[in-house]
Amino acid sequence: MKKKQIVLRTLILVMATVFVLVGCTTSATEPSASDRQPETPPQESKVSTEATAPAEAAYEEKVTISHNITDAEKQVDNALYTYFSEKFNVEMQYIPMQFGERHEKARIWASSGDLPDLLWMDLNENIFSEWCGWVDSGLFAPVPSDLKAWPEIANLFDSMIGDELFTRNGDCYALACMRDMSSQDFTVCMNIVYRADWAEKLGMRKPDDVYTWNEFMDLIKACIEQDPGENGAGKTFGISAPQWYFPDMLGIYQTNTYEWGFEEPFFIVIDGQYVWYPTTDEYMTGLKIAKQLYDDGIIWPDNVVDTNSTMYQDLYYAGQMTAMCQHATIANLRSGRDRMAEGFPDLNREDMYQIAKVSSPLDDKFFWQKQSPCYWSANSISAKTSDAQRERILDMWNWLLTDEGMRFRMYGLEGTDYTLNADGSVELLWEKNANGVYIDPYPGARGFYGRPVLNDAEYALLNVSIPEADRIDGNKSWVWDWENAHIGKVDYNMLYASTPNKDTLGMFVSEVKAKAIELLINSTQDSIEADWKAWTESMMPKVQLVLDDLNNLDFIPSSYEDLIAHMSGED
Amino acid sequence: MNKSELSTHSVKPSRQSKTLFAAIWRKRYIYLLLLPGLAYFAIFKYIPIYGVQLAFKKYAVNLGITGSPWIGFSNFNLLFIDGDFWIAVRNTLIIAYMQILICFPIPIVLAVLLNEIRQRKFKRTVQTIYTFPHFLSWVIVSGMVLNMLSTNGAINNLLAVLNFDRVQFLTDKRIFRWLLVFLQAWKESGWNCIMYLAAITSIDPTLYEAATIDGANRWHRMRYITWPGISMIVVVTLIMRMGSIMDAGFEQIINIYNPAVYEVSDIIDTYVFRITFQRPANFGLSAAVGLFKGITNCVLLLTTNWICVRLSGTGIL
Repeated sequence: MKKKQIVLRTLILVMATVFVLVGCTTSATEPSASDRQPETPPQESKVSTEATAPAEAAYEEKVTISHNITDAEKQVDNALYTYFSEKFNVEMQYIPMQFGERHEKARIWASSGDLPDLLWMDLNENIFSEWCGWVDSGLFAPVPSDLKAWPEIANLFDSMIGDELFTRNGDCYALACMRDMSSQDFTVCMNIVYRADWAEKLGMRKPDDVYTWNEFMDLIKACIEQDPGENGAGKTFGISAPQWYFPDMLGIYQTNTYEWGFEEPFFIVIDGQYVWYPTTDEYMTGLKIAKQLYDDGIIWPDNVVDTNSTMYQDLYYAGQMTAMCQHATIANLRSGRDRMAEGFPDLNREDMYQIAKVSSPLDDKFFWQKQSPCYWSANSISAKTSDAQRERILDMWNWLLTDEGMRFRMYGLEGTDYTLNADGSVELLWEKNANGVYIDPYPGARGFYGRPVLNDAEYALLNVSIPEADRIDGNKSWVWDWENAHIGKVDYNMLYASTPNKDTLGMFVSEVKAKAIELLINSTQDSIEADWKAWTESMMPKVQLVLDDLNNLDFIPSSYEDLIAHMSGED
Repeated sequence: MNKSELSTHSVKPSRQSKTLFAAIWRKRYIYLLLLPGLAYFAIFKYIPIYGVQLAFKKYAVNLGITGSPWIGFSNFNLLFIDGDFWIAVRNTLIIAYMQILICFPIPIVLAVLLNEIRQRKFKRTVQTIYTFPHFLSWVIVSGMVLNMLSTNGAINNLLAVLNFDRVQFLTDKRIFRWLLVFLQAWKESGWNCIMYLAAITSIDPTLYEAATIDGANRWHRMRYITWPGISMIVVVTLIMRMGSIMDAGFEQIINIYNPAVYEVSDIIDTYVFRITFQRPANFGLSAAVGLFKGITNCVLLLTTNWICVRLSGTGIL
């Protein structure tokens, strides 16, 4: 009996150890590229020298391609995936990841030599210099310089400057997910959405939803005090923002009259030299305005503790927030309005989620908008992939950029999800909900198909699955900004410069935002200027190192045109 | 030295080792249970020590840890000019000492008090209630805290109903550290007191009986029997806690803090998190912080042990 117990315990111990060891090994669902594919140095790849037939050819050899993606479980086991995998004779092995861990995962994979065959990353300024190091270490295969076999990719590269950004030592190492807004120079849709129905109710709505700064803040105050949503005393709030726009979108952006903008308080060129924007008078003015909004109760007091950027929307959709800063793309307009309509089916869907144009607090005629980088994310092909894998990736990419590929991505399968009329228009076969809005049969399943280009503005305009009112309003707002607003430009030269100190210390973005938030809450109107100056001075030993690097760059742009000319080699 | 002495000297160690091996073999299954623990320490604690060299290197992914070039003390120089680093060191020490001063005695007092409860059911119920929060992750606790203490949270709504001003519990720099300590005490005191309760149960009950016969009241029994009975374990846990003083509670703070209170709550671990994941990653700099932290912990542990030995004659080394 005792012996049996001993044997049993030993068995359990051995099994537990085996399970632990098995758990530590690479699992079947998270394949290692190196385990599956022969190693082929990038310079020996046929892809880089010979163009082969694109997608439409039949594929005899089945290839497997691993790729990191969010919502991995939604990408397979659906009709879209079945069609796609059969068309390209490919098995996609999706490696699950969370958006918030994208950089950590990429670092781990790069360091352990276990990169997916096609690595997705947002490749922003925080990781760009590391990515350059990975390229120089030979971790990625170059995109072929001759793109004749993949004309859609070539066209996309021609219309953007993304390939220049990702070119190192003469080769391009990323298939960027381009933004589709090249026709308007990548102007984005950073805006304030608000309860136009409440403004209407209070008799304060302005024609075309265009407000001066004071008019809009008065409207918010009136909503908080008069409670047009009938939430009860103290339950209607002012304006909120996601962390990435807080508190910048509440006065700091709008006081930046310089040519250079972008989302964060970076370094900008003034009189031919880079300066740290937080040390300028303009930034101080903006910070004081944001402070006043906070003190007046216009900014939602708990915005600062919403570090995951979830609650700021919840209160809006619960009918308790008057306005919120939002990336008001057509897709966001549609989803925002749908959510409002679900919660308040008796109210007007569009008026509950309308875009307001709000002037600068300094000038009633000055409106501010920003440009975004020309790409949203990028995909790099592992150097360990075979020629067949690389060709298949490029074929898939090319097809996804064709009209047919875009329809596949937006609507699904021809004959099942849509029909194509003789005039080229699309008739959607999706079901509609009670509000007459189409129900997406493949929610969250298009992750990979959207990789080549962000369906942001121009493509979204054509997307008939989105209600027409949303497309009209989104486009109107986009065009309005283009025609009326000062567009802060992206300084690619500064953003993607790789210098020893910038690569080590970064651009102090999180530090600046954190301090601004801290002073917004813990400082006073009288002391905020002195507090801010004291802090920026305390930061200067570090900041100056980066500033010196930037001011010693070979090129410092005098204007945006100068920058673009330099990047395209025309200067 | 005669022959017999020689043979004794030569044979004795062999016998000892034989006996030791025999003893181990006899209890081989018990020793087998030791293996996972040893493997854990070897894999996760000792082998990674070789990564410390990164603190003196500029890490390059293609060269690996050992192949990356040495850069002397550059990472430390960069670290020491960073004002945020010193703020993090200051906060780590303040929060850790606050936790030791407040959270360390609470489980001891709790254990002594629980020991005095005579009704077993009541005692178990109370102990379960105190222990339960330990099993909640900090993510869940932070969600609860956010819902209860935000400006529009339950506590503030109650204050508003009672005509009091709302309190910015989560963004007020004067309150935040105390909030961290309170939450730590609430979550872990019940769990930590288990060890002291176990120590109390090991005290010979006849001592209490004899003391009662001699006329000792409850206070006397606690003061002269219970406390000396657990003082050794208290000293050991205090030394161990001092040895990890630079761990002021990463999981707790990263889930609860916000930019408004960074100045009073950014600790070394959150600082490392930020410099590693919110900037271009510099593993050399992060390793330098880790080394600094490890050395500080080691110095504090040895110092505390020395003080304990001097004061009470008891230590762990």
